[in-house]
Amino acid sequence: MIQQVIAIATKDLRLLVRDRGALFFTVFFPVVIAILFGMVFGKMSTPNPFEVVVVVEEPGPLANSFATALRGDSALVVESAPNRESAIDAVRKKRVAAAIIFPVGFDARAETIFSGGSMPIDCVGDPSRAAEIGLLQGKLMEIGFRQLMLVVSDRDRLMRPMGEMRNQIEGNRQMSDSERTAVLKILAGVQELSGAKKGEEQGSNAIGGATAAFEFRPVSIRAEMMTSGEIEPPSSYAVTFPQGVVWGLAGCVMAFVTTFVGERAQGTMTRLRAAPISMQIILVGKALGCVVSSLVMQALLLTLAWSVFGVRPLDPWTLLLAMSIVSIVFTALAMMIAALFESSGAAEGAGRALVIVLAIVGGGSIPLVFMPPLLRTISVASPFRWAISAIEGPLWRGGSIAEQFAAMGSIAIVGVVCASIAIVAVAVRRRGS
Amino acid sequence: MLSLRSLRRAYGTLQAVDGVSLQVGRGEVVGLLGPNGAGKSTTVAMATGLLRPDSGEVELAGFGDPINPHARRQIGLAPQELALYSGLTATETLLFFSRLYGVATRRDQLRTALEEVGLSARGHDRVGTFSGGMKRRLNLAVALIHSPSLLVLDEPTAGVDPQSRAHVREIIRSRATAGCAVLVTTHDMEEAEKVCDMIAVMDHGVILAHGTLSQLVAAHGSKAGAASRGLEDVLLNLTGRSLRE
Repeated sequence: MIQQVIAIATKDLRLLVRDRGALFFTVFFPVVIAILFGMVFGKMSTPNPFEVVVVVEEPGPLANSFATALRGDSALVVESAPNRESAIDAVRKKRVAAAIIFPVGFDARAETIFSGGSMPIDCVGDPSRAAEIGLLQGKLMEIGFRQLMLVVSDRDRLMRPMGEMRNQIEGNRQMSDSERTAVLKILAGVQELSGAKKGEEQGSNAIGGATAAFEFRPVSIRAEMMTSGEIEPPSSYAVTFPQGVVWGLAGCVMAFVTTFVGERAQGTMTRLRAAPISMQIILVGKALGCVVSSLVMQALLLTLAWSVFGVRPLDPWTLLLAMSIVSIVFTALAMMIAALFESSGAAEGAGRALVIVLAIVGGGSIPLVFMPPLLRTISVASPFRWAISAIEGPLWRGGSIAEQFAAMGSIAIVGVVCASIAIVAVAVRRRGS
Repeated sequence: MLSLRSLRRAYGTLQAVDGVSLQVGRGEVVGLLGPNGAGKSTTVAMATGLLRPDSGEVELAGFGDPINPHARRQIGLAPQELALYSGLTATETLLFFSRLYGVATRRDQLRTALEEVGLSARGHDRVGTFSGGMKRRLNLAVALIHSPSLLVLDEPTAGVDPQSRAHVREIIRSRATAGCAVLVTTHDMEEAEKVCDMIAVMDHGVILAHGTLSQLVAAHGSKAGAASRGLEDVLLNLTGRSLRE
């Protein structure tokens, strides 16, 4: 029985290797896609919208106002998280691009901004969106300057550091009298200005002019990329090679569908069924061929990513497990397509269209993070999306074992659904024949 | 060797085979003749276990119903379609099918099988490069590779040149001489006359006549005597001259 299964699988693999078209779409095309996209996304600009999660660890007027300003920014889609851990978790799960955390003491640090201090903001970003995180930091700085309005319009908050500065200057014996007098005049002017504006509505232009006079940073952003084991993603190729895998899987699926439907079309299926083997053996043999070709394709691509582009897997054994599960699931997808479409024309035409659409929606051409929210929601139905998630985890994204197994479990469920549809379709067809 | 008893099979409202009974003994070549849509292919499919009859029995002497894999091991099938993989070589094709039948074929056995069908010089060439006659011969070689007790050949010489046709007929006769039971479907009257020991004429799912060539000609041939065109007359007399779909 094993001999027959291996014979069928070997035959299919041999035919695949000798079919230049199938080989191109199974191996070479995915490599081209991965390298090309890696070069493109390495210089990618900001997509819209940019989703972030905000945490205010110690509520205060400034922190709350800052968070409100972020929510009101049209370039951002902001959601709230109760604490730092859940915000970082949202980044790790790719639900958002970055977590912006206003730490304990954020408001208190506002009093130090005229004496060399700044209000701290922690920013934890998705490394696959490094370019956008840089832009986000600029955005935070911009909002930080706008928030100065609150600081300078709060006379008591402003006067406390002013008073301290005045005392320090008056007690400073290293300054000459003329210097001391000049600086104290400036401070007195600022105090007068602040006192005059107390209770008045202040225009943003006035604040803009005032802030422009000071060359300081109102906020200090501590940015870090969310990685597991403190390992940075080596390059954009860490993101694009899993995308290449998606296209390789699409090639394997179509090659398998073609061989399966081809058996029916060219009459060899009759010959296989006439042999002293059950239909289950034939299916297992053909499925084994598809699994092996998918696995080899993934291994080739990820080895290339490692050896040439420096994408070293975080956890090779879990990656191998993920690749194996992905191979089995896509074999089930291929069986489903082969079972649903009877003629070779329908299977190759409609099947190819289905696979291409699923691959694109699943993030094969444009990474999910660059997709509009609606398309990202639709992508949940694509097994290619789950394949990327399952591979990215052990490849570079990391996360807990439970999270990685959850990704593999998700794609396994897709596989079970595909296999079930295939079994039902075959049963219906056999009943009808 | 092969016994078909009262086989019936319908496709929806179409009764494709309606009570066919036929015997094929060891060393005997039985021809199944009939126009298109007569029910020959359905009969062959049931005889080889590819299709389950609605009623009736198929039995392979000593092995039971060919629906069972154990019995199918005794059958060599050459379908009408050239059921071959164009990406494999002739040798790889024979090796693959011999493995499916659980036969450990040695290199010299493969060479002998290719020699039998006149393809020994092309063993390492891909099937996709073969002519129609060569493919037809390889199609037959695949049916023979596991030395079956029953050979079922569906239009074995369709669309091939006279040389290949003659070669295939020689192979059929030599296998029968060696004790193999052979069931052949054909539209080629000359082939049936030259190869078959017994001939069954079939139409509309039933066997209209069954016997040796001389018996059929005597019973159903043209009354023109010496001017008779033999089996073709028998077929036309039995099945009519109206065109079939």
